[in-house]
Amino acid sequence: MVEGHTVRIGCGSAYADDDLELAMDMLERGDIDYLAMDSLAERTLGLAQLRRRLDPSSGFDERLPEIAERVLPLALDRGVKVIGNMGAANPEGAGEFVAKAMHLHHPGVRIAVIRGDDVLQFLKDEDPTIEETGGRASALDGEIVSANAYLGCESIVSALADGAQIVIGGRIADPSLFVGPLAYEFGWSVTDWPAMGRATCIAHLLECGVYVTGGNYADPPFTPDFSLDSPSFPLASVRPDGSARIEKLSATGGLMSSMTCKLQLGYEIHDPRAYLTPDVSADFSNVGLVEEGGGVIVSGATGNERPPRLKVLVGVRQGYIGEGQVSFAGPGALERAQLARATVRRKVDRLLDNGDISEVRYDLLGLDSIHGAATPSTAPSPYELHLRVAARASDAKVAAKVALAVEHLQLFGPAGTSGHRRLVRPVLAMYTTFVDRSRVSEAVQMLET
Amino acid sequence: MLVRDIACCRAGDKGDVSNVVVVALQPEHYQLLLQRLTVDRVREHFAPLVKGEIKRFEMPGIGAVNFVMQQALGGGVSRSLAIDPHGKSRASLMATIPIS
Repeated sequence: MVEGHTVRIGCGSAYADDDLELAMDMLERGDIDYLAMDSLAERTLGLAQLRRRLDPSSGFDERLPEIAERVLPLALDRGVKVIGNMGAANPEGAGEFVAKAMHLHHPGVRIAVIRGDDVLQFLKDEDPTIEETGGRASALDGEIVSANAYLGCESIVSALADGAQIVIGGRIADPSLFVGPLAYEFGWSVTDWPAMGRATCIAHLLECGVYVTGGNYADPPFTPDFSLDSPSFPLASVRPDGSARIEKLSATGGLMSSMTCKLQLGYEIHDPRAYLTPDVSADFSNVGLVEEGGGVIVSGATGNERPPRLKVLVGVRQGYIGEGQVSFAGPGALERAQLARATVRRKVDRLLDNGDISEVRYDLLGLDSIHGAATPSTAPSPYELHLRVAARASDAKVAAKVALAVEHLQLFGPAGTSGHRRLVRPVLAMYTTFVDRSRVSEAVQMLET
Repeated sequence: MLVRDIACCRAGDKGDVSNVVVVALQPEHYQLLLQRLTVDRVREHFAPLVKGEIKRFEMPGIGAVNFVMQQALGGGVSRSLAIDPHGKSRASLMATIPIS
């Protein structure tokens, strides 16, 4: 820990299906010290738990074989440490998989596995109150299959202090994957709230990958002209005072500007004075974002004491969604699509009336499917339209019946009804509760390749 | 003039809560947003989509207002029947609100 040095940390993944080529490019050309890889959206972990039930050796990021074969070896060659929550529902299994896969060509590498996020037993023992329903967990409709607490940066700091080159956890909070290495490198105490707030701000800008380098932004002609080819993950060059420069790799598409950073700063936050993570209640209200030499300087974040309890996401199996779609084109497409909608509605609403389905929606894709009744009434009559019906049922057969009712419009519906599609999928609903930190037994286990 | 003419918007989700951040293009546009893009105006525009409370938070450092809408995503990504379960297209709906 040299006084005054700069730490470069890059994003290597922002969700379970993100493009590993961008992680490779970051390692090749980013001149980084750390690569942080987030694999988990709200539902990902519950789905991973279901996979692990079928095969106890699975349950981690499905990209792990490729990560172990390509990303981690390149990181080691470049002296880059990798921190990730790719362990998902099985961090131990993920650690063992990586150790085994890399043993031959990279012996002696230290891999830290962080455990303790799985709090299913706590949920069963304590039966806590669920945020969304106000009732107890046991009163939730459906089988509870997962309960995972969001862990913070502390175990990452201790794993790095213990010489880990690869850190693998389960439900470690996205920003903590970045906050951990920064706290370790700069010697920031994990109870130095302003420092944790500054680190969390940098993390928040990086954690969604290409969303800060031009993704979800182009709106011609209102936005600057830039290419959507060859995106780059972002990286931050962080100074000991906690200010940082956010950059993207050279010779890539996308855009790094104060606006792309401002939009990302506001992404998925609620009160900007209290952005809650396991590490801190971060205050982004006075953050400044200034363009400088192709990058953006971020400063001004601070923080207050972290929340006393950890957030827990609870995965519950809740029946099925049945979905059917048919398409219409040419003159009168709108009238025929509306006739089809009214027809199938009379049939499917009977299932709603007798309680076989609990919720249904009838959308005309191309007209009002996205903003519903809030759609401004300025749109011209479209040349083509798609009728989509989606319904929730506890019984898969009923869900299939709804999907089939839509398909049958192709036989006995308006002229030219075509292009049927149908789908029945199980629902894994996510609910929120909280757990005292003292009830979570977080632990670091060190493996060697 | 619409929100789209003076600001960029981005929508995100956490469970059943949708947030849309509206970032002014210029400092004077931030003042316009503060005056005209009120919670009442947004509630009126989003009424069919949002069952719960709507709150506005100010971010003067970056010239933005952030709208946080409860019970806004049909139960959230994991349960929603909607074609856009994340509600990311809500940013475009915000952009259509008339400012003057």
